[in-house]
Amino acid sequence: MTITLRDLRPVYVVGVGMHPYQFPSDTPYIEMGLIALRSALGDAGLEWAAVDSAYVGTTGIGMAAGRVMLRHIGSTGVAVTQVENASASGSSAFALACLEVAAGRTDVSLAIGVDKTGDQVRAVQKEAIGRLSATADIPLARYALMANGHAKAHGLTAEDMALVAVKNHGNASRNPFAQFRKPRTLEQVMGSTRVAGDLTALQCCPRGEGAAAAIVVSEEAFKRYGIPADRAVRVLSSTLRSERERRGDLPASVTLARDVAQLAYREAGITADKLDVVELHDAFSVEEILYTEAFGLCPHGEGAKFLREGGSAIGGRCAVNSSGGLLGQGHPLGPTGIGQVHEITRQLRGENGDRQQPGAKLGMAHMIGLGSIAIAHILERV
Amino acid sequence: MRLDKPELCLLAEDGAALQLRATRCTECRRLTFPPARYGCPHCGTGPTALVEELRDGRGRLINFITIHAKLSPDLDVPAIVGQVDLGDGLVEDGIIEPHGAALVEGMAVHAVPVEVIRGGEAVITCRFAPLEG
Repeated sequence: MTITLRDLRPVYVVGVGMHPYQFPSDTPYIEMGLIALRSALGDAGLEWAAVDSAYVGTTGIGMAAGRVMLRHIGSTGVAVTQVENASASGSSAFALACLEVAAGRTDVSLAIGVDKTGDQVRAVQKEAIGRLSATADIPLARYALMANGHAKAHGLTAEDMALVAVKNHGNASRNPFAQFRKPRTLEQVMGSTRVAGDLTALQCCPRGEGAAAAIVVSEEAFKRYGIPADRAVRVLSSTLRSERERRGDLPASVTLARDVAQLAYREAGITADKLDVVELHDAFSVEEILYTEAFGLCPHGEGAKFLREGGSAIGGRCAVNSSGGLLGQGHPLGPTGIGQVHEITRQLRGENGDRQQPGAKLGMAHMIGLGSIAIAHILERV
Repeated sequence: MRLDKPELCLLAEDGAALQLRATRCTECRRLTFPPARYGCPHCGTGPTALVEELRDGRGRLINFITIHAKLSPDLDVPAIVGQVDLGDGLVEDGIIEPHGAALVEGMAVHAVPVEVIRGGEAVITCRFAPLEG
């Protein structure tokens, strides 16, 4: 019999912090990471010495980045593990921190993502198996083809996809941690440089850097450190799967996203209609349409209608990418999944200012990593 | 002239078409393209069960888009990238030529040799073109 996160000790997010995502710069990764970490510790009201273990999500910095970074806040003997899972590195670091606390090995664990642009190497380039087209392993080309397929099957238009970017850039413009902070009109999005198929530059996430941190704890830690329970957010489920061979008409990566979401719902004991906020992998605008359908936030083939009717807007049925998502807040890889947890935690606490989803109680963070893998976490206001 | 990616294709005897080098698993009988190298991705059997099977490179264009940005050093843009159904469960992305050809989803295409420059050297590479007649 399989044991899920909910069968183990309850796990709570009690502190989150970020260094704003930004375009590539000379800022050392250590500076960005420690700003996010100190912010998360302050948010939790914890000292660094209380942290038993740290999972560090990064893709482009190099071996042992976690230990090199963390020794600058004190060599406490904390157990450090570096995690690389492409775009899902931060999400995977968060999963490991949650599972460790749930299993009882530690009471306070840190998930931190930090990254710089430039040194990432894709293992597929070392597979020693060629492809006829240089685009075959490039996600942008894959999703542009998927967009075209969805247009043929369900009438998705170029304007529908552009409206995803309009919404998410609008959300990002009010997010102090976002890489893009300008609202964009439909004309600006559709008029930006064409990249592939109907996707334009403003419908593709930027390259960047930054950091995000989340501290997860057990109920034992609440007592030991006097952590107030009223700002805690419980992690109800943690699921991860990789792509299977294509089944049916849906692209394999969309089937994967759907399957992981369904698994996450089952483990959390919820249904899609209960979700108030979702942060999802919108590296390319069409993904938000595909995944809102795959997650069951709207019927299959009606993702564009859901968007146009305001269902995914802040204040709508379920706020999708209220942070601005990967399109607006940014996608520095290592931090991205933990940045999602940052946004959802603030939403569930009711601390998200003018981007607050009214009455938010349940949220889901969902990332895709190259390959593909998909990972989801469901969080609940206590 | 050297063939680009000879592990994927062979010049047909008439010199006007390319054959694609697929592999068939002798255990599950399924085909794989690009050719499997380390084992059968469908059933997991080891590489000794893989046998090369040449395909005629003919297929059906099921989806295509224009790539405008230079996403790879080997990609000259704008380029038409299409998904080609090669039959027997094989679907592979390919560059469609000539650029500007009248394309329709569902049309028959075939793998053809096209001369390109790679690192200053002229080589023959695989493209898909509408199949006449």
